[in-house]
Amino acid sequence: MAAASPLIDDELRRFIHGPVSAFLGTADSLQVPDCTRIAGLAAIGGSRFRILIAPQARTALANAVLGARAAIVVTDITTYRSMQWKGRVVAAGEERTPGDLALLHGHVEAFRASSEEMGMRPSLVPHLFPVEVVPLTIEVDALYDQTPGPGAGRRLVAGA
Amino acid sequence: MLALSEISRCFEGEIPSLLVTCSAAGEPNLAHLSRVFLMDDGHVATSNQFFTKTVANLVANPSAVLMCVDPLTLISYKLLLCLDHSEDGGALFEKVRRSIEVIASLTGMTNVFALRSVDVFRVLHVEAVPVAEQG
Repeated sequence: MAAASPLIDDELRRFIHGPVSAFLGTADSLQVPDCTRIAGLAAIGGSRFRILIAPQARTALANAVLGARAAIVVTDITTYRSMQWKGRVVAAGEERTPGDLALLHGHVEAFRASSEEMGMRPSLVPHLFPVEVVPLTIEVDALYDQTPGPGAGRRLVAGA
Repeated sequence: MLALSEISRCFEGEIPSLLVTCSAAGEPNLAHLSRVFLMDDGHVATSNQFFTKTVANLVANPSAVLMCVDPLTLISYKLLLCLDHSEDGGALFEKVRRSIEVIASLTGMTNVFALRSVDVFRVLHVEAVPVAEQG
């Protein structure tokens, strides 16, 4: 029997560290949604992400209780290629680490490096990102192609 | 609350916006929008092109949140929305269709952006993403 495809393979690991814009979607107990910008993300194994958001993103942090459903969309700002993972929160409330700050720096610099090509002033790019972050861990169970076009929303991989 | 007219640059289609909806079961879904249209002081409209999951979510749950960015300042704004109605013909639909065609030609995506309907939302709240959140 063929092994199941990982939700985050090597190619997608490279993708998320490129010039991308990333967002976290959550919802409260009344199903009112929220979104906040992700300021860095890293894959942990084949089905988890450590993501960084601003500590001022109070709604997202309040929604991101253990077990809550969450969505992560990552878009290459130069090609519009977009991937969306769905999953649930498996860790919240941890202290950020020095590694998280390095992840934030790498994310912002990758974005800035391509921003001018996309018509944005590189000097303003830091306005999009926080200087301090808090981590969340999301265990994903489905992957969708979200690239604009007729195939948008097509499910690519479902977890076990 | 900010007035929509104060953030009108966000609706010029320079930077894609993001719409988040939620299923009845509580699962959020994110979708990029090539353009959001400012209707009046209390309404915005979005182009439904290929958002099957978004449409399904809005049928079950009319709440949505829109994240948009001022292309001049890169300040982000968050709008809490409630779906009012959808239109699949008429003057608004044609206006949006023409705009989508222009964006499609500028981005090399002609024949990719097929407009299905226009969703009109009531805007319940507008806030700037806090400056500290933006660095």
